[in-house]
Amino acid sequence: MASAGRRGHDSVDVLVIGSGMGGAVATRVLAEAGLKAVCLEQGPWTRPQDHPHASPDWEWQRATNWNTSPNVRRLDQDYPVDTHDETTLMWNGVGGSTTVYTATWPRFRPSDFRKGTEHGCQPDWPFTYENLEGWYDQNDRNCGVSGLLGDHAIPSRMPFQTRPLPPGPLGPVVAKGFEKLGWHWWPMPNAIISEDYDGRLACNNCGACQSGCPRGSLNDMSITHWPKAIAAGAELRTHARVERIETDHTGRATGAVYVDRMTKTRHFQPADVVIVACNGVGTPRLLLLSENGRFPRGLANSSDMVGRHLMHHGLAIVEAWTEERLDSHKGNISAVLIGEEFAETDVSRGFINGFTMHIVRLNGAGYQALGSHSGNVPPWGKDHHAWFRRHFGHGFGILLVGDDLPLPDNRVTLSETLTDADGLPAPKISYHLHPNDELMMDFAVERAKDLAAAVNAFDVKVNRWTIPGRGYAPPAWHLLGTCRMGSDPADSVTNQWGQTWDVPNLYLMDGSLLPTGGAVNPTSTIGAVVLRAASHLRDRFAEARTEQRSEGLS
Amino acid sequence: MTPAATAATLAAFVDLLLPGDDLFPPASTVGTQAMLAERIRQRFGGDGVAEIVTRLTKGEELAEAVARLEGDEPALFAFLYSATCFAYYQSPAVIAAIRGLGHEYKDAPQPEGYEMPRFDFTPGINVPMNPRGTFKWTDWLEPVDISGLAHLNLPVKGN
Repeated sequence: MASAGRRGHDSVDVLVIGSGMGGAVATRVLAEAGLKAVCLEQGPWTRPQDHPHASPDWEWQRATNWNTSPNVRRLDQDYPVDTHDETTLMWNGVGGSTTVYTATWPRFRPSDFRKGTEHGCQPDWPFTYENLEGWYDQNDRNCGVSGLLGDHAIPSRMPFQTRPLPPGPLGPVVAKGFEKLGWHWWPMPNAIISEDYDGRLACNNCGACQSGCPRGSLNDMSITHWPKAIAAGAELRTHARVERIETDHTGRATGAVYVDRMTKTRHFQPADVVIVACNGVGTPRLLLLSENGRFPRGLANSSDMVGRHLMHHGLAIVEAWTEERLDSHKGNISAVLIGEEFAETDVSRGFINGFTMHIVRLNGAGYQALGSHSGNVPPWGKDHHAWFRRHFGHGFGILLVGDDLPLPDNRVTLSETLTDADGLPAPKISYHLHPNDELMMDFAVERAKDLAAAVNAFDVKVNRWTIPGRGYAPPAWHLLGTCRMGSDPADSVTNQWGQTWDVPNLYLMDGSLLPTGGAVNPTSTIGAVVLRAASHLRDRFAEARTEQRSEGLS
Repeated sequence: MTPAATAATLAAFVDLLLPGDDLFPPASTVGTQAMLAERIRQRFGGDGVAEIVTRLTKGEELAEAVARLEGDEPALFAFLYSATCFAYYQSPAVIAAIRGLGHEYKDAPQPEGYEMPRFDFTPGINVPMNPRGTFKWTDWLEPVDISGLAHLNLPVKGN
């Protein structure tokens, strides 16, 4: 029931907060089961014509109002991130960060789920790869994934929806380098369709994936999931910024208070079940913002695990330029190939865990003239054009993605100094690499240099994403682990279904659940985990609707 | 400084950065300075252009002033250089120059995109002739000995 100063709404079966990968999957599953679902999203819809791809200044727009960092964009729907340790990728709008990601779609490996068993420095997941396998396949069908069967480096899988994206001249050139070194390589799976699929147009290789996809070829949840969720009866309420989740005297969530950013009116949306899907930064922020007398440390935080164990992956990129023309501005930006030669733990290397190599492209002429991903910036003045002639269209990136250890002091808390436009404290992020992970990335960079040498690169540039005086400050594309699931309420926030240990009708369904980050892009895994959890919730919704806290939630 | 002098200084500035050659036009001839001025205004407000031009004309040659700016205020210089490059490389005349190098390069990525040959399934082309790679199913996983990594002070279960 609404209190004074806020408008009430009819209670619904399920309230979902956040419309990105997790929120979209969960809402669609529950709405298609006939449940009354409302999703609150603080940002707007993005229309095809809102993307910059057809504008001459598309690269400038990508660097500014289409920047992946809310601290650069500073749009009304964004909230700032208080940190000097990283540049956080996040999009606040329908589809969440799938609006501005690359849709690179590899899967985790079975060992990623069993790091506790393997070496004990990370927890085991509360389920195995084999438990998730079918959900990966189903999620792929819903999103549309291009790729090639037969990769010996990962378990076999069901067929891809479309053939691999065109590798262009880049693929064979780098493949020869991998072959020369005797290393694994394979076409990278991407959630970008290379052929028409499910009413969507095939990718036309425009090369500007990081500003979203106006054609709808890339798996943006606002295109692949939300129309279906809405057709099934879900309500998506945009410009709705949630302030807090409320609980009753029994400790159950009752709903959420939100501000309509258009009218500046405050509302309360009651629900039987609440799902938070605000990503690995936004979800812990909202739980911490929702502290009350019964939950003084924030919701679902009796274990003090909320916000901790933030993972982004260890990241570095090595760019190389070859005599062969590679057409670096054509085709999906990331990635053409994946190399998993070093993905598993081999302690003889001097560290645990592993990394993968992703062969990526370099954007348009403006970006390539400004150093692309590595900061190999040409000189200004009379030598600029000679540099450009030599380098443009001849470069590629070897993106190195390492499995970073989840550390308790790598965490999301609430800022004491920054707020969003509605006065809510911003998230504050502390993040540093463990020495193990620094060693891993040192090793990874050397192997990338080996690959550059194997393709006879004439120029090589390494970007370790370090800032003088501050150290490693990566682009935080992957926001993981801050409300991890587990088998023990003492060291996790939820059970294997995303159900919080403390609040029985409060579920988390996004990247914050992942206990480990693997050594690859996480979105396909997030989708599969949420699809599994939401389907379980659907199947036991009658019980979830009235469930009280007990020790038997697992 | 008069508006005319301000415009002339910005034109000289962009030409110093991107002077042109036998194929690429000097930056000022494609209007880069006008776009740069607008982007400075967006970033630094209405007085931004005048303030930057003042810094570039402080009793020294423009080349010296720019070199000093690059060394003393790298973030500001990086902004000016990137704004200049992005403006320059979106110009139709510069895109024509890129095409003159033999590249297929569109005015913008959409709506046309790029035609590319489809993935070739022939082994040895886009697919490995002899695929490599291994993984372990869950049941095959065994603990590894990390006693030799004690100096790393590794965490226990991430705690």
